[in-house]
Amino acid sequence: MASCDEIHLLLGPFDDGELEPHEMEDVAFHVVECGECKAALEDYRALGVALRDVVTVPPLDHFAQAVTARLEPRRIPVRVRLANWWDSLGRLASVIEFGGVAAATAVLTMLIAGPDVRQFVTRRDARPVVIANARATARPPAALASANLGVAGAVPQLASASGESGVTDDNLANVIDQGKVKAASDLQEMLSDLGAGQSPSVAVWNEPRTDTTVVWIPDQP
Amino acid sequence: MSRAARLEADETELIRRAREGDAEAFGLLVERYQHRVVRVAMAVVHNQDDALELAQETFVRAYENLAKFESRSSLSTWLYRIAANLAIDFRRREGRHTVLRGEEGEFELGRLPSERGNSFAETARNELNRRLREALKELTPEHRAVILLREVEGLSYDEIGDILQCPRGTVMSRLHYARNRLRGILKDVDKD
Repeated sequence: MASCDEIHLLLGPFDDGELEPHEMEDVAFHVVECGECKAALEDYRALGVALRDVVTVPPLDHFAQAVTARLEPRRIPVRVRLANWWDSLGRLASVIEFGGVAAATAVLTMLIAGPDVRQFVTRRDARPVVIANARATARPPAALASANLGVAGAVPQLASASGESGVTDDNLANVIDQGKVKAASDLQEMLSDLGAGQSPSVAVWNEPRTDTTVVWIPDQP
Repeated sequence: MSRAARLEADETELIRRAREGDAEAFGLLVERYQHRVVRVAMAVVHNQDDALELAQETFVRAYENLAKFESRSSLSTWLYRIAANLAIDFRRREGRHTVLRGEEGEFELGRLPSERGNSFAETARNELNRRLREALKELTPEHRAVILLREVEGLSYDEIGDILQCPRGTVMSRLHYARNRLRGILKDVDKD
């Protein structure tokens, strides 16, 4: 158990509720059993009451008016006004900074996601032309298909023709060669058209399963 | 807007307006804190006229330095700190931490609120108050401020330390010293 000297130091904070819980407990147990410390604690409490009685505040009926009257002739010092102006500028700068960050974020987002967004928007109106190794009627796709597909694109059509008219293997090879040359020239023509900016966008990809190349071209305006 | 409604106006808004030179807004802040600021000044100087003058000076200083006020602490704590510093400086400058002497002392004691009753209890109470006032004057401004901010204002140790800008341990030791000094006065009165 703590001594009276130790507890005596803690009596005031105990009464003020400023001790740790375990200290509060120690003091409380001690005070119950120690008459001297209990008397000191009661003296402190009586002192608090007496001090509240001693210190009285005079009437303050016109106090605020007296203060504001002293303020009237005073202009806020230039230094303070400059500080106020600087503070307001700081607030404005923070607003501008926030707006700038937001705008930069929006621009970056557009730059990063722009092509996808544009493609998405365009795709809704576009009817893609997919060129596969089937028979296509449109000129550029057909040309491209036969060019890329080479024999695969031409064979079914030619095979049918050869079967009916009795074309020989040599003739067939010639026809295939001619088809290749024509398709290549058609492809060059179309690519040069695309390079000249006549198409807004184009997507080309390979389809490994069927060994074909697919070209996606949006509808022309 | 009614007076009560105006007093309830957002303190932050009042501070902002006062910073821009709006004396009326600052007047509302004065009305809100005048009693407590005067009590803090009274806690140190224990003279009504001086306390009122110091309280006015506190608000004038606060008005001029509102730009420096940071919202990390409350406005009341900031005002207390200005008032306590002004009052402690005043006491040191004026050398009034000793007992008032002569006619001035008699005059001050006479005008302190001591409603002279006829009963023995009232007489004893008045005598206790008189002795306590004397004892308070003998304390240093720091000890007076600590014990009165605690006992009269009911501030916590941390708040007192914040106002007087001293550690919590210093607050505790000053309180202990002041209480023991004043307790002796109480015991003497009981003996008489």
